[in-house]
Amino acid sequence: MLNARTRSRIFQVAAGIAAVSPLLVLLFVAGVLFVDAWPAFKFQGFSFFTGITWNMGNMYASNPIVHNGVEGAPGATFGILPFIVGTLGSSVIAMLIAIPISLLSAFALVYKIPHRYARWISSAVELLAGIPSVVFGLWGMVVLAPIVANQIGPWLSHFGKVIPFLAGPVGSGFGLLTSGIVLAMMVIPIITATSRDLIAQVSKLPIEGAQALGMTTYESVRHITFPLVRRGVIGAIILGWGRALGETMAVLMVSGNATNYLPTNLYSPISTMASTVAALLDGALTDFSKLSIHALALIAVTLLIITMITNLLARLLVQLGRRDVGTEA
Amino acid sequence: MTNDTVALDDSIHLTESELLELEAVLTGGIHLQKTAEIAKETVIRVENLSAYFGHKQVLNHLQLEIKDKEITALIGPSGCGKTTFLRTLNRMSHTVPGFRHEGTVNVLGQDVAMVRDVESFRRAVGMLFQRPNPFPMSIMDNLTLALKLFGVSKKERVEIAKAKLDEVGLYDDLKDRLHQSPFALSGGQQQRLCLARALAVQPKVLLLDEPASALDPKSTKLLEDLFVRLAEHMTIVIVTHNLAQAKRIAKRTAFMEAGEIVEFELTDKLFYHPNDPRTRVYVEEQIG
Repeated sequence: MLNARTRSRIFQVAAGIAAVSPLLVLLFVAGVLFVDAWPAFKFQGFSFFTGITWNMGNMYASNPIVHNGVEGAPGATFGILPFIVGTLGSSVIAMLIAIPISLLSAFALVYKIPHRYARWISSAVELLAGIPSVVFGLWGMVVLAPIVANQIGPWLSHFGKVIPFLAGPVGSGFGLLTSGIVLAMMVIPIITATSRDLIAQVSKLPIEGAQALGMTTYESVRHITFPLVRRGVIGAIILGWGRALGETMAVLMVSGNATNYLPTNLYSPISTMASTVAALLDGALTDFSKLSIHALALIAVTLLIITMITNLLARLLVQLGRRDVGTEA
Repeated sequence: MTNDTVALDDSIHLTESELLELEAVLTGGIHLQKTAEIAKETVIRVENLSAYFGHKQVLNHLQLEIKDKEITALIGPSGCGKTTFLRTLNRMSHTVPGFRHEGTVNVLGQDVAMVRDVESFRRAVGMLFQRPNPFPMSIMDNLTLALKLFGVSKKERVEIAKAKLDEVGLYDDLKDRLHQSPFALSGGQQQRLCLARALAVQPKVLLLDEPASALDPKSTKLLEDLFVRLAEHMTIVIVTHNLAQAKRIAKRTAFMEAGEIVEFELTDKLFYHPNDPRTRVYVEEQIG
């Protein structure tokens, strides 16, 4: 039998490895991605991020072209601007829908809905967070897309005179708006559950004080609870935003898979970065020059960087908006 | 020397009652308030009040009249329903799911069960809680937030805030840090800030739920003096576990036990000559 000292030693080493492993995994994944993506960046340069045309070239030819010292299939050119726009556009729409709904449900669950009902609704919200994305995608294809094409789209297009981006044609229902709504459905449970837990932790005492002063529930929530949970709620929003940016399957099923095309209105077909990687991987594997694989890796790197930038920006906003009072107490 | 006047010297003649009053003035305003018995208006009238949380009855047929410009204390063992009763007076009990009441509770001429505009009603019936509960914002904003929401102009609300802060004796200490967090203040200061905040919306009735139970003796004394002064122009109801406190500041005291009012009397009478044996037992045990 091992003695206590040895067991303690083993525990310490194991705990240490476990503690640093998330960082190591992140460094490893990022490292591999960067190495893998590098030839594509060398081949295409910065036009990779600004180009509209994505063409993996004639992958069955045997006469590679050489550009900047990198071999590629004839005709190959990689521009991912439409994917960047599609990713940001669909996630922005998702957040516009999800943030108000999530926050209102979270506040209602804590303050307005009687506890025994709130428990059931909370479980439902958590269940919603666990639904596989392919299920959301299927729902989007079968149920949502026709509704967007036949009801929501035509109705919204009336506002096209004021906001040109809302004008028709409404199209097939597969595109930016449908992707945004599906993403919102997937993000709402994340933001709701996290914010609800935060709000429930806020002391009831100042809320009672506010109500005793003659403030309405809305006023006390707006002025007392919200400032206390604002930072945490923004954290929850970042979490949801990250999910929307990286979501692959559901978007792939409802986005319309547009390539070489920037969205012209709210209903245009799009592709996101994540869904493009998934959709094109199979084809890219047949590229004799391997350059297409490197290009997909570079998309992944770009997504990683965009996610990190939006994260940092959001945190910066929180820092700037932070007042010297309140949240520290 | 005649029967009804006392000659202090050749020039001043006072009636006996005038002399009593003079004595009262000299020995302090509190005494004056206790002796000068004027017919006062009833501000809170409770008739046959029973209250329930779900199926559990917490108040049983309460009967009580609370007069204007007086301090009325509610005493009794923990769980006797004093706080629930107090919170029924400004409808805070009603925010608890499952709460309901029977009988009438009339506050400032309004039946609390019938109040439609709860916000205006609560503005007239202020409340101070057991633990200080400043809002997570600057000291000044604590005082002005409600006024701002009620549409008072900025200049006016800052003036009110400073006046109320002065009234509770905090202005001199805090005038240079009005834009700082209230959480750095001592418990007593925080509680006085909360009192100033409650006073800023000009309530006519002030409900105090063990307002000094979390405070040290010095802060308690400061608060008690404030309550006595405030009672000159408003009605105060205080729930307290501190019998000495009730004795010090309350004109009348109600002793509650198991959801009932056992006895409601002038404070001195209740403490020194209680009618009900239950009151006697409680008072003697508490004082020891």
